[in-house]
Order: sequence, then structure tokens, then C-alpha cells
Amino acid sequence: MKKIQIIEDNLANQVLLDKILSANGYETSAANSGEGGVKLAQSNLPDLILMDLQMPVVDGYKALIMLRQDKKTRHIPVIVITGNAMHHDKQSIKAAGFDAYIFKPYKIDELLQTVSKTLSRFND
Amino acid sequence: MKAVEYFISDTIKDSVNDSYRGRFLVVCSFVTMLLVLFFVIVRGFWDGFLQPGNKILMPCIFVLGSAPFIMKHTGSIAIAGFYLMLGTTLTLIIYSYYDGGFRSTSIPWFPVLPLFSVFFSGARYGLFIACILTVDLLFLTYAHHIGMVPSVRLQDEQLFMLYSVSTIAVMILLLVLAFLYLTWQSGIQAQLLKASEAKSEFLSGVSHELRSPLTAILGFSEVLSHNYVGELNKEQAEYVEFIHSSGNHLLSLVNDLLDIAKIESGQMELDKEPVLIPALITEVIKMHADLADAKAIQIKCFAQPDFNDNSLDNISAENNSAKSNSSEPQSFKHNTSEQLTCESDSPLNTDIGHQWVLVDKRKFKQVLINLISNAIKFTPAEGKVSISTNLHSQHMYIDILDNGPGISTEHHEAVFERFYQVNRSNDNKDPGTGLGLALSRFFVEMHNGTLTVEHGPNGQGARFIIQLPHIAVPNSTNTHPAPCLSNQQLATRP
Repeated sequence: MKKIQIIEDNLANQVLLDKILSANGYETSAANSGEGGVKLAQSNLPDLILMDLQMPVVDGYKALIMLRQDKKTRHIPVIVITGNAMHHDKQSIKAAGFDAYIFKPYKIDELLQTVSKTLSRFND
Repeated sequence: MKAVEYFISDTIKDSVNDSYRGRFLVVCSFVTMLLVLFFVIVRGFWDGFLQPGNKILMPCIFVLGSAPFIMKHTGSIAIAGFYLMLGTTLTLIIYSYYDGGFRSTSIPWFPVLPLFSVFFSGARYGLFIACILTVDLLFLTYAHHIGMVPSVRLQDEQLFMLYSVSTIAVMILLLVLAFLYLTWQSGIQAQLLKASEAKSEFLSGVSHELRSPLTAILGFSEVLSHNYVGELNKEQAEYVEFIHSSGNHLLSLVNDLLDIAKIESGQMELDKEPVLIPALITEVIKMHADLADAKAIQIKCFAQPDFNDNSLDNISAENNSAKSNSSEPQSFKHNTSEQLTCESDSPLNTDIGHQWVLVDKRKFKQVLINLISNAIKFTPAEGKVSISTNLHSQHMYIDILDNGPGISTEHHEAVFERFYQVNRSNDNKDPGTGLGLALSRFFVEMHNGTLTVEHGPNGQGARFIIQLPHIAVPNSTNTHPAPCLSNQQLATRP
């Protein structure tokens, strides 16, 4: 069973992701802040991280840098979830080095597809 | 500079525009006051301190020196400016009379007084000052004529010196005014840029803030309808569907409003690429297949609209031999019983290789989605929607025709206004955002095209027409020359 970690500060969206993923055969863990998420990832070592971009204090960009700086978490693929679908947002997401992105609001199929694609890309 | 700032009150500081004007008023008053003082002293030595001209310049010095204090006290540049200009004008009028009329060293100041007055207090006050000065100049002309003007007891050299000082001072003040105007303009530009950036950040923020709760609304309603937490009964399922469709409606509103805001702040840009229009239409029709199926609506698409023209049959017979029915060349149908026959790799698309157009794919797709979903929405059950594309000289036309109730002529322009919704359908299940057509027209116009609506054939239904300038795409696989329509075919167009 693949382990997926969710980092999302909005409780409703966190529960939503948790429900969709656990109902589709993934083992999930969740953190509600960027810092907490990085710490949890270091101890838990998930196969994939799903992260919100806009979070207070440590946002998605900062959390990604922290994950990439640690040898243990460097290789974990990170999918970013964002509500900003403006053109320059896409560019900055690509430049930051996220492995995939999902725009809010997403459809369940779309989310599951991106997750399984990213997982299979990193397992080969 | 600190001394100048002393006179600028907080109400003036609030506006970039006003703080420039206020500073100019202070500098202008004090510099001119020193100049007038210089005149009084010099003339005093040459001509006697208490000669009539000098006496009149005393109140002028007072007005010039007190104007900045009035501005500080009232907080109004207009009042202080008018006080300054009226005071100076009246004293100069009397001064010029005792100073030799048109020979007076104060004459170079006359044309600039109304100008400064406009700058400080506005056009009306400037006009008022200009009128007073004109009347005075007419009076002086008359006074010279009847020999009424008192003579001046100054030598030519002395007059020459005073004249040059006076004129140069006027020129320097005008230069300062011009310089201030330039900095003022660049200040306004910087302010506009800052406002535009703030708006952009605001939009980005609003977008995120609205999408987060929408994600939960749409996501959880989808989770419930997928029976993740157990089977729903019929009523529950129906209500969850309502939540989901309302959430989707809210999402399209958010997206449309963001697009409108982007357009208004001038941030909407085109990202053009070669697009095969019929293929894009096919894609959009496929997206709406379920919607059309539900109402048993037949969607027909023609790459050439008029199939009575024989010359077109040759092209279709050559490339579309699989299809024996040449009466409908390059067409595909979609209805409940038959799948779309317009596949991306079918012979159809090689026929219409010339229908590559340089457009922003995302925006153009949105235009097609708006128009085609509208056509399906307003077409009654078992009705027909026809979409056709064709090229004529430098233009590409896309026609979207439904056989719904149509749009009355007086609403033909109004439907493109924001939030304008024609009540042409009885069911209000999908109310739309009221922004789709406004945005569609804007997007088409961004491509230098037009989007119009007219009545369908025999006055039935509505026909939306997109006209785009056709720019040949060099890298397309096009080997066929672009066909031209006959006049007869064009006769169907306005």
C-alpha cells in the first residue's frame, strides 16, 4: 500500500483529500502546516506528498525547499495543489521544481490520475 | 525643501497631483516675492522709494508672502492659488499704469498669470483672470491713445535691465512649471503601475480564496455521489447533485469574473498557436455529447456550409471517397444513435487543412464552448444544432445555428452585454453566468475578429457568426488552396 502524505491547512480540504485517497487504496497521513508537514515527512517517509501552495508562515515553495534540502526526503515526489490558475502562477510552479500540479477545484478522477501517474513515474 | 514641506498640509499630501501643485505654489510665491522686493529696492535707489509704482508693489509683496500661509491654513491649493493670482493681477494692473503702460516691466507677466491660475485653481479661475487682464490691456491701449499714461523717469539702460530681469524670471518660472508637469506625469504613471500590480495581486488572492471553499463543496458532493460513504437515497442523491451543479455554476462565475477583471486591468494577453478550427469544434462537441444526448439533439458540423455548390463536391469526392453521400460534403453528425464521425485522423481533416488559424487555443475554445453550450441549451428536445466553418478571401467564418426560439432583433446587440440574459428558455435549470457572450465577443475581438448574432434561415432559431481574419499558417500540412465561396453562397450573409 502506497503511503501518501497530505499537507493542507484547510481542514475541509484535508479531510476531502484523505477520504478520496484512503477510499482508493492509499495509506494516508496529514499535516496542517508547512513545517509540520516537513517534519512528518522526515519521520514517516511517504511515497508521495500532496501539498497546498498557499499556507501561512511556511508555504508550499518554502516547504519544497526544506524537503529537497534533506537527504531523506529529497527523492519524494511532490504534487502541489493550488487555487491560483493564472499564467504566471503556472510558470513559477514549474520553476520551483514541483513534480506535478493540480488546480483547485479538481475532479476526483483527475486527482487520482495525477497521483497514480506521478507514483508510477517515480517507481520505474 | 523642508521649509516648503512646512506649508503642505496632510490633505494636500494625500494626492500626488496636489502635493506637486502645492510645492510649486510655495516656490513660485517666495521666488516672485524676492524678485518684486529686488525691483522695489532697485527702483527705490533710481527713482525714489515712495514713487507710486513702488507703493503699489508693497501689497503685491504681502500677497505673495502670505499665499503659502493661506494654503497651509485652508488646506486648499485652489483658494490660496486664487488669492495669489487675483492679488498679483490687481496690483500689477495698477502698477503697469503708473509704470508706463505697455512700456512697463510688468507686461511679460500678463500672459503667464492666467496659465498659473489654471494650474492652481482650475480653468474657470484662469478664464476670469484672463478676462480682467484683457480688459486692462484694452484700457491701457485707450489710455496710450489719449495720452493719459504717466511717463516714467527712468533711463533706457535702467529700463532695459529691469525688463530683462523681469522676462528671465517669467521664463524660469515657466521652466519650473514644465519640469514639475513632467515629474508629475511620471509620478502618476508610477502610481498607475502600482495600482495595476496591486489589482493583479488582489485577483490572485481572490481567486485562491474562492477556489479553496469551492474545492470542498464540489469535492465532498462528488465524494457523496460516488457513494464513498454509503449509498444515498433518491432524494439525497438529487440534493447532492444540486449542491454540485450550483458549485460548478459558482466556479464558472468566478472564472468569468476573473477574466473580466483581467481584461479591465489590461492583463489579458493572447498566447497564439496554430489551431485546426474544425478539430477544435469536434473537441468541444464531444465535451457536450452528454448534454446533447440528454435532449436528443442532433449536432451537425460542416466544413463547408453550402452543399449545393458543385465545385465543392469535387474536393470532397476526391478526399472523402469513403463517404458516398456527396450532398453533405465534409460533414459529421452527432446524435444519440450515432457516434461522432469527425475524428481527428479522419479524411475530413486533411480536406480542411487550410483551416488552420493562429489563435489563442484556450480562449478560442472557451468561445466555442460558450456558443455551442448556449445553442444546445436553447434548442428544444430532438432539435438540431448546425456548426459550419468556411473561408472566404481573407476571413474565416464559423456559424453556430440552433433551432430554438431565436433572439428578437432588438436584443441582437444587448445579448453581448454583461449580465444580460434573454429569457428564451423555459427551464431555468442552468441559468448561466450572463458573462459568457460578453467574454466571447471580447476574446474574438482580441483576435481582430467579430462576433455577431442574427436570425436563422426563415427567421427560425439564432445564428451566431464568428468572423476571423485568416492568416495562413506556414507549418500546417495544407496542400489545398483555400477555396472561395461564390457570391451566391455569400448571399446568405449580411
